Amino acid sequence: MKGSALLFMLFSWNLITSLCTFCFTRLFLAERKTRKTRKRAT
Amino acid sequence: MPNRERWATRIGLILAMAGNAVGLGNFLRFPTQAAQNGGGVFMIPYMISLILIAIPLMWVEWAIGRYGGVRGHGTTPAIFRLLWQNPLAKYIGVLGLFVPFVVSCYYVYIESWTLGYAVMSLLGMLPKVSASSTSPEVYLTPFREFLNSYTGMGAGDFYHPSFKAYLFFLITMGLNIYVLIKGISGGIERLAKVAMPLLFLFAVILMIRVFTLETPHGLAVAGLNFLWEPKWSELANPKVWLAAAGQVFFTLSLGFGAIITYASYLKRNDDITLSALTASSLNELAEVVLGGSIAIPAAAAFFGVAAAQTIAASGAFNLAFVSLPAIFANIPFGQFFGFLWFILLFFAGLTSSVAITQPVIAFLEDEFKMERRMAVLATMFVLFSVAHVAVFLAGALDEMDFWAGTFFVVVFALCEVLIFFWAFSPSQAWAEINRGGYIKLPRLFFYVMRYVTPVFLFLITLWWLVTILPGYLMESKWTSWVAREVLVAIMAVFCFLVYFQDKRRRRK
Repeated sequence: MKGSALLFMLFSWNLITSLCTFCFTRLFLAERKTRKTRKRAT
Repeated sequence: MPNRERWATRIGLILAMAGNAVGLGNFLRFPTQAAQNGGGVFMIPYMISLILIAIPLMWVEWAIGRYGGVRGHGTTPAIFRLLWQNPLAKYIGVLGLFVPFVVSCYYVYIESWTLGYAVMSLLGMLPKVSASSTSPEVYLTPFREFLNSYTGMGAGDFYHPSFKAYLFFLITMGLNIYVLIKGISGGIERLAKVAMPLLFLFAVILMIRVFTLETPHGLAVAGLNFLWEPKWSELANPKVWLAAAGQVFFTLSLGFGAIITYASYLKRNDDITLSALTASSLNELAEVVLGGSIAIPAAAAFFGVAAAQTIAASGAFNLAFVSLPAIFANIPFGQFFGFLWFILLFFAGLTSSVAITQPVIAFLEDEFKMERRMAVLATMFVLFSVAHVAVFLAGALDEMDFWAGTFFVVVFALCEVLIFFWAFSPSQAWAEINRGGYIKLPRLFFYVMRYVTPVFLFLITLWWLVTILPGYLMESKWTSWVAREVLVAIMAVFCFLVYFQDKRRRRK
């Protein structure tokens, strides 16, 4: 595969998969924190 | 506080929102747009537009929806009236009913083609042509003729769809009604939890199969080169920037009113910032990583790069219903892979069609206090009736797609951001977006939403008004004018319903 095409493809893929990973990780941690807080309150 | 339905789980909400955004365009429109607009370079204006238009507008729509939902309203005629104390506001909000309703009238029909093709592919009912040294044009002819006979789209003023096409249209209507009658958490959310993981799984299987394609014409790598190789000179072309802005806009289903209605089923302090970003990132994953790795690379591997360029230029329908079935007809287990391709498109379509049908249903439930079952049946009966214009009248589908699915979508999005960040209090709008957020947005986005996004949207609208609209109106046939009259009638009915409801509300 041509270098410039590969560079653009991998850059785009990495950017989007990183964004996805960041979002789901933050979401999981936030949801877990909310659940714990709610549990402690009850 | 008004008693409205709620999303059962956070992941269900995100998958439903992603399902709304992930549609046929992710797998068909994106690769053809990228291939025709600079290849890899297309991703530069694409990413910039994503940050400056799409994601800010996504947050705005989620916030508008939640704001209305906690006050008992899930559609824009009522929500805009709450945000902007002006008699015009509710009529601008009518676009939030008109756009999704008109789009759903033809979208459900196209969605039914994907179901029909999936079943026919599995049963081996698609054309069987052995690959030979003939040109791609000759090789694709039986598949093009099959599509024409299936949809009945010929040269005359009226289409004559096949019995099979009409049967699958009825089945698709039935499936949509079934999901919608079950409600938000019992129908739409449950569908999203099943359909979205399957959609991603099927797309990954197809991607792996395409990457391992080897034919005398070449490899899938040639297609990836064709799709991703940067043509730097194109970066100075304003058409490329507008194409990229249009693509990110349509891919996230912004300006349809569906996101607002979905967000109206959130609680007052539910997170918006991270959930909206997560749904957007899932859509981008489906589009850039998966959508860009199936259709165009397969076409390039099977027909060669030169033919793939012609196929990309011939439009999304040709790519989906002519080129891809022709490729699957000549690979081992092609019937199975063809089924995967079309059922993947069907899931993408179904999760989007239930979303764009929901605003009118929510309008009848919230403003006219209709029972859900009654609201669904009434909406779907009218939708089914109007859909026949797109099914039988030549050019009507394109007409509906241009006005409702392209032009008014951008106009409506511009109205949303102006009403929320200018007519309503900007500081209150910013606080509304951030309340309950799992991540705090950088203050920079306040200025982006208030100044940059509206200017960008205004420029897109202006560009279309100047370049596309005059030519479009000049080349119209009589059938196009009939379709336009139908659209005006739909708009008038919605305006009357909003006027009638408002009068009744004030009398109370």
